[in-house]
Amino acid sequence: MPSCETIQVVLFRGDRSGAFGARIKSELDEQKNGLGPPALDCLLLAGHTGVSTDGGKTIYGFNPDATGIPLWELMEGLKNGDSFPGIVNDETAVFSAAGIHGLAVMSFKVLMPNPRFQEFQGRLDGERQASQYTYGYPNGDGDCNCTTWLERLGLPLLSGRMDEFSSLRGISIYPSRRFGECV
Amino acid sequence: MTAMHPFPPIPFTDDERLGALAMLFRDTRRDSERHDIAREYAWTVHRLIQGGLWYEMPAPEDQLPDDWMPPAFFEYWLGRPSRP
Repeated sequence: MPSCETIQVVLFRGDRSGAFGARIKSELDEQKNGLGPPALDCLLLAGHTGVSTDGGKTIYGFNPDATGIPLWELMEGLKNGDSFPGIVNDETAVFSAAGIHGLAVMSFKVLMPNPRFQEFQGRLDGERQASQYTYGYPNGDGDCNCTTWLERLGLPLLSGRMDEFSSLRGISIYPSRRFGECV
Repeated sequence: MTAMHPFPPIPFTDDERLGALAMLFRDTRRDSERHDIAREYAWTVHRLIQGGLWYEMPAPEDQLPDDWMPPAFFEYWLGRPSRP
Protein backbone atom coordinates (compact mmCIF):
# COMPACT_ATOMS: atom_id res chain seq x y z
CA MET A 1 0.00 0.00 0.00
CA PRO A 2 1.49 3.40 -0.93
CA SER A 3 2.22 5.92 1.79
CA CYS A 4 0.00 8.99 2.26
CA GLU A 5 1.46 12.37 1.43
CA THR A 6 0.09 15.67 2.67
CA ILE A 7 -0.69 18.79 0.68
CA GLN A 8 -1.63 21.88 2.67
CA VAL A 9 -3.99 24.52 1.34
CA VAL A 10 -3.31 27.86 3.04
CA LEU A 11 -5.53 30.92 2.86
CA PHE A 12 -6.44 34.18 4.47
CA ARG A 13 -9.34 36.52 3.99
CA GLY A 14 -8.28 40.07 3.15
CA ASP A 15 -8.32 43.02 5.52
CA ARG A 16 -11.15 45.16 4.23
CA SER A 17 -11.64 47.19 7.35
CA GLY A 18 -12.43 50.80 6.58
CA ALA A 19 -9.02 52.27 7.38
CA PHE A 20 -6.81 49.73 5.59
CA GLY A 21 -9.12 49.38 2.58
CA ALA A 22 -9.38 53.14 2.22
CA ARG A 23 -5.59 53.58 2.42
CA ILE A 24 -4.87 51.01 -0.30
CA LYS A 25 -7.67 52.34 -2.50
CA SER A 26 -6.29 55.87 -2.09
CA GLU A 27 -2.74 54.73 -2.87
CA LEU A 28 -3.97 52.96 -6.01
CA ASP A 29 -5.61 56.23 -7.05
CA GLU A 30 -2.38 58.11 -6.32
CA GLN A 31 -0.46 55.65 -8.51
CA LYS A 32 -2.26 57.05 -11.53
CA ASN A 33 0.06 60.03 -10.98
CA GLY A 34 3.09 58.37 -9.41
CA LEU A 35 3.87 55.89 -6.65
CA GLY A 36 1.35 53.25 -5.62
CA PRO A 37 0.96 50.75 -2.82
CA PRO A 38 3.26 47.73 -2.51
CA ALA A 39 1.88 44.61 -4.22
CA LEU A 40 1.93 42.90 -0.82
CA ASP A 41 -0.59 45.38 0.54
CA CYS A 42 -2.94 44.63 -2.35
CA LEU A 43 -2.81 40.93 -1.45
CA LEU A 44 -3.45 41.74 2.21
CA LEU A 45 -6.52 43.67 1.06
CA ALA A 46 -7.78 41.05 -1.38
CA GLY A 47 -6.94 37.84 0.51
CA HIS A 48 -4.99 34.95 -0.96
CA THR A 49 -4.76 31.17 -1.30
CA GLY A 50 -1.60 29.10 -1.62
CA VAL A 51 -0.41 25.53 -1.45
CA SER A 52 2.43 23.76 0.31
CA THR A 53 3.85 20.29 -0.18
CA ASP A 54 6.54 20.53 2.52
CA GLY A 55 4.48 21.01 5.63
CA GLY A 56 4.07 24.75 5.27
CA LYS A 57 7.77 25.67 4.96
CA THR A 58 7.22 26.89 1.40
CA ILE A 59 3.87 28.18 0.15
CA TYR A 60 3.28 28.72 -3.56
CA GLY A 61 0.58 31.00 -4.92
CA PHE A 62 -0.89 31.91 -8.28
CA ASN A 63 -1.06 35.56 -9.31
CA PRO A 64 -1.50 37.72 -12.39
CA ASP A 65 1.85 38.59 -13.92
CA ALA A 66 1.89 42.36 -13.54
CA THR A 67 5.26 42.90 -15.23
CA GLY A 68 5.19 46.36 -16.77
CA ILE A 69 1.65 47.10 -15.62
CA PRO A 70 0.94 49.58 -12.82
CA LEU A 71 -1.01 47.91 -10.03
CA TRP A 72 -3.98 50.26 -10.34
CA GLU A 73 -4.31 49.34 -14.01
CA LEU A 74 -4.08 45.63 -13.20
CA MET A 75 -6.78 45.92 -10.53
CA GLU A 76 -9.06 47.91 -12.83
CA GLY A 77 -8.53 45.38 -15.61
CA LEU A 78 -9.39 42.48 -13.31
CA LYS A 79 -12.56 44.24 -12.15
CA ASN A 80 -13.44 44.79 -15.79
CA GLY A 81 -13.19 41.04 -16.46
CA ASP A 82 -9.85 41.08 -18.28
CA SER A 83 -7.39 38.20 -18.06
CA PHE A 84 -3.64 38.37 -17.45
CA PRO A 85 -0.91 35.76 -17.80
CA GLY A 86 -0.60 33.72 -14.62
CA ILE A 87 2.59 33.33 -12.63
CA VAL A 88 3.43 31.06 -9.69
CA ASN A 89 5.68 32.39 -6.95
CA ASP A 90 7.03 31.33 -3.59
CA GLU A 91 4.75 33.43 -1.42
CA THR A 92 5.71 32.17 2.00
CA ALA A 93 6.49 35.76 2.96
CA VAL A 94 3.00 36.91 1.95
CA PHE A 95 1.35 34.46 4.34
CA SER A 96 3.79 35.42 7.12
CA ALA A 97 2.97 39.06 6.50
CA ALA A 98 -0.75 38.30 6.70
CA GLY A 99 -0.22 36.76 10.14
CA ILE A 100 1.86 39.73 11.26
CA HIS A 101 -0.89 42.02 9.96
CA GLY A 102 -3.31 40.25 12.30
CA LEU A 103 -5.21 38.25 9.71
CA ALA A 104 -6.22 34.66 10.47
CA VAL A 105 -4.11 32.42 8.22
CA MET A 106 -6.06 29.17 7.88
CA SER A 107 -5.09 25.85 6.39
CA PHE A 108 -6.43 22.40 5.76
CA LYS A 109 -4.80 19.19 4.64
CA VAL A 110 -5.43 17.10 1.55
CA LEU A 111 -3.94 13.62 1.87
CA MET A 112 -3.13 11.57 -1.22
CA PRO A 113 -1.43 8.28 -1.94
CA ASN A 114 2.15 8.80 -3.07
CA PRO A 115 1.64 8.26 -6.84
CA ARG A 116 -1.17 10.85 -6.93
CA PHE A 117 0.93 13.21 -4.85
CA GLN A 118 3.82 12.87 -7.29
CA GLU A 119 1.47 13.72 -10.15
CA PHE A 120 0.35 16.82 -8.29
CA GLN A 121 3.94 17.76 -7.43
CA GLY A 122 4.85 17.42 -11.11
CA ARG A 123 2.03 19.71 -12.18
CA LEU A 124 3.00 22.24 -9.49
CA ASP A 125 6.65 22.16 -10.59
CA GLY A 126 5.56 22.71 -14.19
CA GLU A 127 3.45 25.67 -13.15
CA ARG A 128 6.38 27.17 -11.25
CA GLN A 129 8.42 27.08 -14.45
CA ALA A 130 5.69 28.65 -16.57
CA SER A 131 2.00 28.67 -15.82
CA GLN A 132 -0.30 27.52 -18.59
CA TYR A 133 -3.24 29.41 -17.08
CA THR A 134 -4.41 32.99 -17.24
CA TYR A 135 -5.54 34.84 -14.13
CA GLY A 136 -8.88 36.56 -13.84
CA TYR A 137 -11.53 37.46 -11.31
CA PRO A 138 -14.54 35.11 -11.04
CA ASN A 139 -16.71 35.15 -14.18
CA GLY A 140 -14.09 37.18 -16.04
CA ASP A 141 -12.04 36.05 -19.03
CA GLY A 142 -9.22 34.43 -17.03
CA ASP A 143 -8.96 30.67 -16.54
CA CYS A 144 -8.85 30.86 -12.76
CA ASN A 145 -7.75 32.84 -9.73
CA CYS A 146 -5.53 31.81 -6.82
CA THR A 147 -8.21 29.50 -5.39
CA THR A 148 -9.59 27.89 -8.53
CA TRP A 149 -6.03 27.42 -9.83
CA LEU A 150 -5.72 24.63 -7.25
CA GLU A 151 -8.60 22.85 -8.96
CA ARG A 152 -6.80 23.24 -12.30
CA LEU A 153 -3.90 21.34 -10.75
CA GLY A 154 -6.28 18.54 -9.86
CA LEU A 155 -6.33 19.23 -6.13
CA PRO A 156 -9.68 18.26 -4.62
CA LEU A 157 -11.02 21.00 -2.36
CA LEU A 158 -14.28 19.34 -1.32
CA SER A 159 -14.51 16.36 1.02
CA GLY A 160 -17.24 14.71 -1.05
CA ARG A 161 -19.91 14.93 1.65
CA MET A 162 -23.17 15.76 -0.11
CA ASP A 163 -24.21 18.02 2.75
CA GLU A 164 -21.04 20.07 2.28
CA PHE A 165 -21.57 20.38 -1.47
CA SER A 166 -25.30 21.06 -1.47
CA SER A 167 -25.03 23.70 1.25
CA LEU A 168 -22.46 25.89 -0.52
CA ARG A 169 -24.02 29.36 -0.36
CA GLY A 170 -22.11 30.54 -3.39
CA ILE A 171 -23.89 28.10 -5.70
CA SER A 172 -27.23 29.65 -4.84
CA ILE A 173 -25.92 33.20 -5.05
CA TYR A 174 -23.91 32.66 -8.27
CA PRO A 175 -25.78 29.83 -10.01
CA SER A 176 -23.60 30.10 -13.12
CA ARG A 177 -19.83 30.55 -13.25
CA ARG A 178 -17.49 30.88 -16.22
CA PHE A 179 -13.78 30.01 -16.29
CA GLY A 180 -12.07 31.33 -19.40
CA GLU A 181 -13.01 33.39 -22.43
CA CYS A 182 -15.89 31.97 -24.45
CA VAL A 183 -19.09 33.16 -26.13
CA MET B 1 -34.88 13.40 -19.35
CA THR B 2 -34.23 14.08 -15.67
CA ALA B 3 -35.84 17.23 -14.38
CA MET B 4 -33.13 19.49 -13.01
CA HIS B 5 -33.75 22.33 -10.64
CA PRO B 6 -31.47 25.20 -9.75
CA PHE B 7 -30.23 25.38 -6.20
CA PRO B 8 -33.06 26.85 -4.14
CA PRO B 9 -32.78 30.62 -3.86
CA ILE B 10 -31.61 31.76 -0.46
CA PRO B 11 -31.95 35.16 1.12
CA PHE B 12 -28.65 36.91 0.70
CA THR B 13 -27.25 40.07 2.13
CA ASP B 14 -26.59 43.27 0.24
CA ASP B 15 -22.82 42.63 0.62
CA GLU B 16 -23.30 39.31 -1.15
CA ARG B 17 -25.47 41.00 -3.77
CA LEU B 18 -22.53 43.30 -4.66
CA GLY B 19 -20.41 40.21 -5.37
CA ALA B 20 -23.12 38.65 -7.51
CA LEU B 21 -23.56 41.91 -9.47
CA ALA B 22 -19.79 42.23 -10.01
CA MET B 23 -19.77 38.70 -11.45
CA LEU B 24 -22.68 39.54 -13.78
CA PHE B 25 -20.85 42.71 -14.84
CA ARG B 26 -17.70 40.77 -15.81
CA ASP B 27 -19.80 38.27 -17.72
CA THR B 28 -20.90 40.80 -20.32
CA ARG B 29 -19.17 43.42 -22.45
CA ARG B 30 -22.42 44.98 -23.63
CA ASP B 31 -22.65 48.57 -22.41
CA SER B 32 -26.43 48.50 -22.03
CA GLU B 33 -26.29 45.42 -19.78
CA ARG B 34 -23.39 46.88 -17.82
CA HIS B 35 -25.35 50.10 -17.26
CA ASP B 36 -28.30 48.10 -15.87
CA ILE B 37 -26.00 46.17 -13.56
CA ALA B 38 -24.21 49.33 -12.42
CA ARG B 39 -27.59 50.93 -11.65
CA GLU B 40 -28.55 48.00 -9.45
CA TYR B 41 -25.10 48.08 -7.85
CA ALA B 42 -25.56 51.77 -7.03
CA TRP B 43 -28.95 51.03 -5.40
CA THR B 44 -27.36 48.29 -3.32
CA VAL B 45 -24.56 50.64 -2.22
CA HIS B 46 -27.22 53.20 -1.31
CA ARG B 47 -29.08 50.64 0.83
CA LEU B 48 -25.86 49.59 2.58
CA ILE B 49 -24.98 53.19 3.38
CA GLN B 50 -28.50 53.96 4.58
CA GLY B 51 -28.45 50.82 6.74
CA GLY B 52 -25.58 52.32 8.74
CA LEU B 53 -23.92 48.94 9.28
CA TRP B 54 -21.50 48.80 6.37
CA TYR B 55 -18.17 48.11 8.08
CA GLU B 56 -16.19 46.24 5.43
CA MET B 57 -15.19 47.49 2.01
CA PRO B 58 -16.19 44.93 -0.66
CA ALA B 59 -13.39 42.64 -1.84
CA PRO B 60 -11.77 43.90 -5.06
CA GLU B 61 -13.51 41.07 -6.96
CA ASP B 62 -16.84 42.32 -5.59
CA GLN B 63 -16.27 45.83 -6.96
CA LEU B 64 -16.94 47.27 -10.41
CA PRO B 65 -14.19 49.19 -12.22
CA ASP B 66 -13.85 52.70 -10.75
CA ASP B 67 -15.48 54.31 -13.78
CA TRP B 68 -18.63 52.27 -13.12
CA MET B 69 -18.75 52.65 -9.35
CA PRO B 70 -21.34 54.99 -7.87
CA PRO B 71 -19.85 58.24 -6.49
CA ALA B 72 -21.45 57.43 -3.12
CA PHE B 73 -19.04 54.50 -2.75
CA PHE B 74 -15.98 56.78 -2.84
CA GLU B 75 -17.60 59.39 -0.64
CA TYR B 76 -18.49 56.77 1.96
CA TRP B 77 -15.18 54.88 2.01
CA LEU B 78 -12.66 57.56 1.07
CA GLY B 79 -14.47 60.68 2.14
CA ARG B 80 -13.96 62.21 -1.29
CA PRO B 81 -15.02 61.79 -4.91
CA SER B 82 -13.24 59.31 -7.17
CA ARG B 83 -10.12 60.59 -8.93
CA PRO B 84 -9.92 60.22 -12.69
